[in-house]
Amino acid sequence: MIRFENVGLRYGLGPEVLRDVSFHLEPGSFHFLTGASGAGKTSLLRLLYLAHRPSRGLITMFERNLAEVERRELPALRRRIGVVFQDFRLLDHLSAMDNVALPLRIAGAKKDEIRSHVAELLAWVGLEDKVNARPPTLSGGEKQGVAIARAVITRPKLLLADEPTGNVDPERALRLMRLFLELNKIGTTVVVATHDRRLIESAGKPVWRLQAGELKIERR
Amino acid sequence: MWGPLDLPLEKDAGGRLLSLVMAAMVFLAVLALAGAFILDHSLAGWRAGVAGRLTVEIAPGSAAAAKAGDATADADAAAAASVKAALKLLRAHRAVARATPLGRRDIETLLKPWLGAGPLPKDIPVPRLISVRLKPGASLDTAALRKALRAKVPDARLDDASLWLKPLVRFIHVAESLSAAVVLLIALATVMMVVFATRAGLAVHHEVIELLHLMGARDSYIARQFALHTFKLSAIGAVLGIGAAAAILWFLGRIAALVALPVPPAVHFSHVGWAALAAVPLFAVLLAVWTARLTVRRTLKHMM
Repeated sequence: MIRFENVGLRYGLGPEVLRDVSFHLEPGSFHFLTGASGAGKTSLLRLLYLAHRPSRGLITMFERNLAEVERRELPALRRRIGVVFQDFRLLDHLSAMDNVALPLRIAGAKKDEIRSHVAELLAWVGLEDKVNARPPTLSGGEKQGVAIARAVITRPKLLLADEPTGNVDPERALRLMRLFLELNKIGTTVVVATHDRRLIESAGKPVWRLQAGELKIERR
Repeated sequence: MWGPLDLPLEKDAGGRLLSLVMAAMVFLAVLALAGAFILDHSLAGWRAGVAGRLTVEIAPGSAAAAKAGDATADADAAAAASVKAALKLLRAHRAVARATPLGRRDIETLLKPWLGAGPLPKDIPVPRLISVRLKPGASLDTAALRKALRAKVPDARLDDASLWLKPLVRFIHVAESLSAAVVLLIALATVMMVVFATRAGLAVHHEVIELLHLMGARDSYIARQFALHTFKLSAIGAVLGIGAAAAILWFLGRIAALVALPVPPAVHFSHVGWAALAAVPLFAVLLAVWTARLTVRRTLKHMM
C-alpha cells in the first residue's frame, strides 16, 4: 500500500532529517514508530500524511508514485489518511461534534449522514455526553478522544498517530491502544509514533526505530 | 443564517473594519453616481426647455422709437413700436412657428425671484420680451436672423439659449467624467482593501488552513470560507452605506424643494437611475467576494 525507497528529507537548505528511509507498509498492518526526540518521527509522519514531499527517493502511496501526483490530486489521497496529532489540533471555536464532522463536511457528505456518523463515533470514544462541548472545556483525554474520532470518521485506509498517549494517564493510554487495535482489526493500516515502551510491549506489534534520521526495523 | 465557519474568521479584528470601510465606499460611490445622474437629468431638462425656442429682448427707451420721429412719445410707446416691428419681421420668417410678446405681468413674474412679488414701479425701466417658438425640425441661421433684426430694430437683442448652454454642457460632462473616475477609484480601493484583509486572514490562520488541507480540503473549499465571511461583512457594510446615502439624498431633495432652487433642480432619478444606484451595493459585495476568493486561490497555490 505504501512504499518508501531511499527517501531523504531536508527542510530548506538544512541538514537531512531523514536519510535513506526504505520500508513497505502492507495493508492492514500495525507498526510502532519510535526513537529519541529529534530522531525524525514527526518528519516521517509528515511525509506519510502528505504534508511534505521528499527531498529525494521514491514514495508510492495507494498505487501512485508521489513524484507524479499533481497538487490538485493530493486532496483525494489525503482523504484516505486519518491523523491524530500530538497536540490534537482541534478547532477551539467549534463544538466536539463540529470538529469530528470536519472531514465529512470537507468530503461533501450530507448533513443527516454527518450527524449520525458523528454521534456514533463520539459514543465509540466515550464522549456521547460531550457533543456540544468546545475543546477548551474538555480534559486532555477527552480532547484526544475527539481527535481520534475526527481521524477515523471517514474510515481511512491509513491511520497515523503522533505520540497519542503523551498527554494522558496510563489507563487512558491502554484504552486508546484498544481503539487502535479495533480499527486495525477491521482493516485499517495503523502507524503509531510513540516513546511509550509499555504501550509498545503491551501490543506486541512490529517496531520501527528511527536513529538520527535512519530507520531500523525490529521484527517481533 | 449560517453555521460557524471552519476557519475562525469571525474573531478577526479586521472584520468590523471591513464592514465600516465597505459602508464608506458604498456611501461615496452612491453619492458620486447620484451626483452624475442629477447633473444629467438637469441638463436634459434645460435642453428640453430651450430646444426650438428663442427670446428677443428690446431695451427700454428704444432708439427705434426715436428714429420713428415720435420725440414726445414716452418710453412705453417707443418700446411698443419696436416690439411691433420685431414681431412683423419674426412672423414673416419661414422657420418661426410663433412669436408672442410677453405682457408686463409675465415679465413681473419672471423678475419676481429678484425684485419680489407685486406690480413693478412705473419708473423702473423694464425690457420688452418676445418669445419665439420655431417650427419643429426647422433649421435656423441665428446669425442671419440677428443681423436682420438689428437692421430693423437696432436695440433688439436675439437671445439664443444654446449659447449659454454650451459651456454648461461642457462643465456637466467634465463633472460626470469626474464622478465616473471617483466610482472607479472607490472600486479599486475596495479591491485593495479586500486583498489586504484576506491576506492577513490567510497569514493568521495558516495552521488551520494546513489542517484543512491535510484532511483533504481543496483550495476551493477554503476559498469558499473566506468568500462567505467577506460576503457577510461586506453585505452589512453595503446596507449601512446605501442606507446613509439614501438618507442624505432624501434630505437634499427636501432642502431643494424647500428653497425652490431654480438651478440645480430637485433630486430626481429615472427608473434606470434608481436601478443603477441600487446596483452599487450589490456590485460592491460581488466585487469583494470575487476578490477574496481569487486572493485565496492565488495564495494557496504556493502551499503543499
